[in-house]
Amino acid sequence: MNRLRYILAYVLLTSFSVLSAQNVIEIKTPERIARMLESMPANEIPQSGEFQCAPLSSTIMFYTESRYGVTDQLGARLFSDGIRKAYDPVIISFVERLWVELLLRKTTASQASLLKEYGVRIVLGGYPLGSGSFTQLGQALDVINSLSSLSITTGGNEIDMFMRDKTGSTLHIYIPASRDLLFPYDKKEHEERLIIDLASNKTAFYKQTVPESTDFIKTDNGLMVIGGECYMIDSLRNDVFYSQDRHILWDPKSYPEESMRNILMGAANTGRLSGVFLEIMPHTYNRDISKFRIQMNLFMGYLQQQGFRFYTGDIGRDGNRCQCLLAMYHPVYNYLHILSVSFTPDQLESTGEVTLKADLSTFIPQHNIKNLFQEKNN
Amino acid sequence: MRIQHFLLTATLALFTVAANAQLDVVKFNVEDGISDTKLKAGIEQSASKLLSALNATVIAGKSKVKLEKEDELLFTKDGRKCLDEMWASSAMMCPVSQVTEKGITLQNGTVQVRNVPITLLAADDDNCEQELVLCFNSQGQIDNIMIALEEHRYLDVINAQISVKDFHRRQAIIDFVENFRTAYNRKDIDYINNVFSDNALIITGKVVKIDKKRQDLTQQSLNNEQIQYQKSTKEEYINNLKRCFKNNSYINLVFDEIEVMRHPRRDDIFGVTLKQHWNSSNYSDVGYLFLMINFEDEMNPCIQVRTWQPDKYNGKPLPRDEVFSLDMFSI
Repeated sequence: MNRLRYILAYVLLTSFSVLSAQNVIEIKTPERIARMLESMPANEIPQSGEFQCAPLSSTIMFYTESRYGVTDQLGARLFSDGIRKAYDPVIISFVERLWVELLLRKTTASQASLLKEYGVRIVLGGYPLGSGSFTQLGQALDVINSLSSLSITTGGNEIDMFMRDKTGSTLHIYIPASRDLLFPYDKKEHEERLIIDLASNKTAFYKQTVPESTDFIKTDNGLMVIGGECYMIDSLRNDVFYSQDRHILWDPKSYPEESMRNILMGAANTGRLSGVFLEIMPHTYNRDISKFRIQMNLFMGYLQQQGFRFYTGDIGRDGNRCQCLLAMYHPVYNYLHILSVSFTPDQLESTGEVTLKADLSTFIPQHNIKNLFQEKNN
Repeated sequence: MRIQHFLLTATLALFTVAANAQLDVVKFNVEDGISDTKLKAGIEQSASKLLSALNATVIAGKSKVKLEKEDELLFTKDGRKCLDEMWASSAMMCPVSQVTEKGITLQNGTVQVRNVPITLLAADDDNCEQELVLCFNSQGQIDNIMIALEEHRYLDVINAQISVKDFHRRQAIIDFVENFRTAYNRKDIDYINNVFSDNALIITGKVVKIDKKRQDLTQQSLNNEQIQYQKSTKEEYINNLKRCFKNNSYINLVFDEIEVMRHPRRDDIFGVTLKQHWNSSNYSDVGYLFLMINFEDEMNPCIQVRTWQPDKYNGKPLPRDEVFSLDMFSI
């Protein structure tokens, strides 16, 4: 298989201001997909579409999908379109991609070995693949082919895809909630796609994410907050700040950090955001991507649309310059993006166009952290 | 091995029963996270009964978890079915007599309790110690039971007085470590070459067999493996890595159990200890990786120390106090 056919697109970031002429992102087929494509015993594999591959299975239809002009998914068509629409497409795509990888392995032992490497467990009637009465992967396919119910439990460190067929047989697929496993992209490939997606995003921050509560808590500096959740530490929260008369706070001169945090939570009047731009320095793999400028509204809107939870905190002040942090956590895929924004109160008060400097770290895994806050004793 | 494990555990359990007939009883407490006192009490009752029943079933050597008729009501139909399925794949018992955990209330009113310690009798030695996730419906009935993968224990640190700045810096370490891992999977030797300090200390542990002929009888009956450490220069390490990249069409490193430790006086020096799973076309292993990272130049952090140790020798896991960490280095 000629690998060159999977290396296609050069995408120039034109949708937002590029602060460096070098910010050209070359999109290639993800390495994992390219490796699978090379291993497929099929003559004609479309860049996008369905195909058959009898040496792997005479009953399963295989498919590829393309984005950014390259193939970025190869899977076995296990689930109906209805299921694909109703459930998390990333998880469904992962399982269908995994199935191809398993079929590419000749023996049940080597399939079990791949599952062990990935930390995935396929459990049929209580037995993991290769044990008890679950001796062939095809037995699991029998359950999938006559599904009577399906549920996917997410939110922890493990995703549980639970299926039951019409005869009552049960199938669990337990998947580590790890971005690196669930997506076909490594960190660098994912970062490149994120920047392109940000550039093409047209969805603005669309609604306020004020916590649903009326339990105001008074802060040390005389403000009121509706307290929500914290992320890992007490001082990183999804709080929204209110003035003493219980109106959403907007007072950049007296409370610059709290006003900024209200913006970042979507609680401040989002009309203000249209004139606010971020000049973002991305801290990506190998520092390959240069600074770029994007309307804050669109940056936040994209991440909101992707299902991230937002938490904010104060980093500190340097003279008149304030710094706030926005931690964006994805509860299903278990990773963080972190944006730190630097600004002055004057910039927030400005009614004209204003550009705030920001640093962005992306795709920071959270599933594999045992202890982030150890201190050396001596 | 698994049968031996089962028999040993069952024997121990029976032995213990003779000494204390109540040792199979487990008491479960919910520490926090559930404001509804009735629901909290229901969850405590359901979990206590479940864990006690698991232990009683192992001690009795039965093939199915048997509950008193009224205790069956502590499970939903799905929950009971799930228990039976799990039991079918492995008998299990709770190794402690008291468990206290926080409840996590989900949006739909259901509750999860995580980190419940459990021993899977049919699993291998590496995997027999696991943690259960118990899912309860809004009436406190057990609706689902799952084995958690390596649970990251965020809840332990939630109340710690840690600044946002410190959080940011430590997440930057995790980001750096993830980039470092990505570089191996991409076989990006230039990246790896750049992040190692030129005079980095690189130590690799290797399990070696001790020559039994040279030992006396007492020693022969004990351990016959030890870890030997070899020091190499950055140049030697990079050259070895180049050969490894060339010989393997595929490399998949997985990092787990990451621990980040800061130096008490040098806030730009961090130690990271983690479990590394090396999977490649020709070879796979598991070991502990330690990195000492200098963040003086935040844009270009560099690795000053790298050590690797096998995760086990003499058939036992490497003792925790032998795993390298920042504590072991004088800086």
